Amino acid sequence: MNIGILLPRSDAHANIGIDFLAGLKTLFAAERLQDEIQIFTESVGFGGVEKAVYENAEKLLVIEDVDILIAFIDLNVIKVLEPLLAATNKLMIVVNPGANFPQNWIPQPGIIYLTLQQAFNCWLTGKYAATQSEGKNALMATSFYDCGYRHSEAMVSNFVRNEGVITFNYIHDQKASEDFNIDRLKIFLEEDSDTDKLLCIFDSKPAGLLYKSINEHKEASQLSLFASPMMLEKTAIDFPQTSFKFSIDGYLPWHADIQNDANASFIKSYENAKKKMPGIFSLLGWEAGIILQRLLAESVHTGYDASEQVSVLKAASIESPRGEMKLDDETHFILTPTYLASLPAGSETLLINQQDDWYEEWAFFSTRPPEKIISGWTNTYLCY
Amino acid sequence: MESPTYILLCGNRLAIPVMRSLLFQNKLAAIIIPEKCKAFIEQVDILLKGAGIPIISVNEKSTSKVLAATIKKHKVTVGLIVTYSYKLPPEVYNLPSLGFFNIHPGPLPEYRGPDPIFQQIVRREKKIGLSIHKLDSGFDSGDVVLTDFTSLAAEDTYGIAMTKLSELAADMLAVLMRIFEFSSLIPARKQVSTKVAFYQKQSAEDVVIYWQEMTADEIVALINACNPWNNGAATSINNIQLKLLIAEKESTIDHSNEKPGAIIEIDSDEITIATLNNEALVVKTIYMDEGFLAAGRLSAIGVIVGDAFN
Repeated sequence: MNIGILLPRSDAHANIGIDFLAGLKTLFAAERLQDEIQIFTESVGFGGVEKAVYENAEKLLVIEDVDILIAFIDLNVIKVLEPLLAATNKLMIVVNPGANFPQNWIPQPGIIYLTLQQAFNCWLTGKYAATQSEGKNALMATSFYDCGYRHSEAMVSNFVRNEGVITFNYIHDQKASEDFNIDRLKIFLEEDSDTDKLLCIFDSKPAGLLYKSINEHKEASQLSLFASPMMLEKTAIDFPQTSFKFSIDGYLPWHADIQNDANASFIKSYENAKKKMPGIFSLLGWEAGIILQRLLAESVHTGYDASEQVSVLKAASIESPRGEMKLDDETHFILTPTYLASLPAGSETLLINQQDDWYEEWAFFSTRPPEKIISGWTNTYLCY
Repeated sequence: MESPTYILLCGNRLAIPVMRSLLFQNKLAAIIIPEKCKAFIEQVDILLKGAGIPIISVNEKSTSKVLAATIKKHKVTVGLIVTYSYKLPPEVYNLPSLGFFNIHPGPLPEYRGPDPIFQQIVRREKKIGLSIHKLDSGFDSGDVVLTDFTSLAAEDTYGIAMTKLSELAADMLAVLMRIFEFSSLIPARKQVSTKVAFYQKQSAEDVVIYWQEMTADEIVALINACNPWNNGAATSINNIQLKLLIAEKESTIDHSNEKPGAIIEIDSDEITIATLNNEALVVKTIYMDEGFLAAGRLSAIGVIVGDAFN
């Protein structure tokens, strides 16, 4: 099997492509597939330039004649690839953090989505925030970068849908640096004693700085933070602090502490191979490898016909480090269990609990009527 | 590569968002419309007033000659068709250097034919599709570039479906136009012969309700598929010809003793009609020679509970 990979680049997460490939190759090594799967790669930078994405995909699909294309790109640039995929009858596995979601969820026959479901996890966190304690008011805090993806709309919409009220929108416009300050946010908190919930969406590095700044606020112990998945990353929570005066809760797709055999196998294999702990990007690589492994096994029956491969995956239940992985028939998104992470005020232990009641929310989330007009960043989330 | 210039051949409002998109991007050279589509020509004339885009009306005999001359005059590089009733010969559709494309309001090859919107609704598809294909000498048989879908609700009428597809057509055209910006070769896939289905234009018999054969869901779908272009699905009662325009299924009424087509209830606004499988149909609006009426008005012309549609 020959696979082509459109690899991303990121200044903020410099190892994004390397970690993804490391996860994929570690799975291949663990399953002794190195000699059966050949990898061809092309870089698509931050993923926001359609022309570059198209030309590199064309090179892999037509010139290299790969059997399957893995594209680490966001949803905005997928449409132009559809004629190429249809003409070559090749399967494309779209991989990304999942901060965006489609305007039109009706899937193309040869495209599936393996994401970290950031937007859906934010959707769940929005509901959780609205249903915890009596207070209904919340402040929305995010960055100029993060608010350009639809995960922010998801969190706010489900908070409001569950009778929450947004009292203030705070858009942080500075880079993550030592000068990071949240003065305007603090002024609002001092003036409005009725708002004690903060819906927060930040990347991991500014998240740590945000936590530190809020911790210095005199009323910090009165606050409850409801955070996006990247804010629950170990690098964000472990920002040099003894403990936070406020609580942090939020849904996330995966954590190293998740207890299941597949996660244990993933972490052990990765640590042995790379001498470091895996992260979310190597998780995506590992999971892409699991899918390829299944498709390779079935290829004697399906060949590399995209529709046949999608049918195989729809019927499959695959164990992944996130739990049971299934392909959603209605959307072609890979669905996995989701996890609620909680860090009580003053605690240094992040509690991770698998949630079983998410599917009804997913069904609602993925069938909402589309917005008429949307705008946002075109690059892949976290590729900046 | 020089930016492409488009010509649009069209015959109804399905083309309006496509036209708007081409106009907005300053890519539209001319519009060709069959002269028999008088109301549409007037509509386009108003829409494009002051835009400086030629609107050329043709008949079946003149279409090839006029089209060839227009393509040459405006140096057209891409031809687009959105519901155009005249077939083009190869010497014409091969003239634009980047090709001629048909925006077909049905997914191909499953819905070939002149009115796939009607066919998709009566078949109660949950998603309604549209394909862009390269023009060839057959009917809707060229290689497919793009196929996409939008949701179709059980209560969506033909008119609503057309509006949804018209917006989808503009979105898909935008993709095609973006690909043209960086590639002169548009990839396309041959239609799978085993999946081909061709539907003729619906006949008068195809828009009649057959009460003894059709379920409530099938009748609702037919009614919606006939709204608004046919003023509803045809039926008759007490020798009065009429059309049902707005109706919905009712599952909670027990009428096991009534034959399909019989009126179970009638009030000032609605009538309830027995259908197969102990289901019922609540009809809200009808069309008669007298006009569009609340269904309950049938009582004013002597229709009573127990009378049956046939």
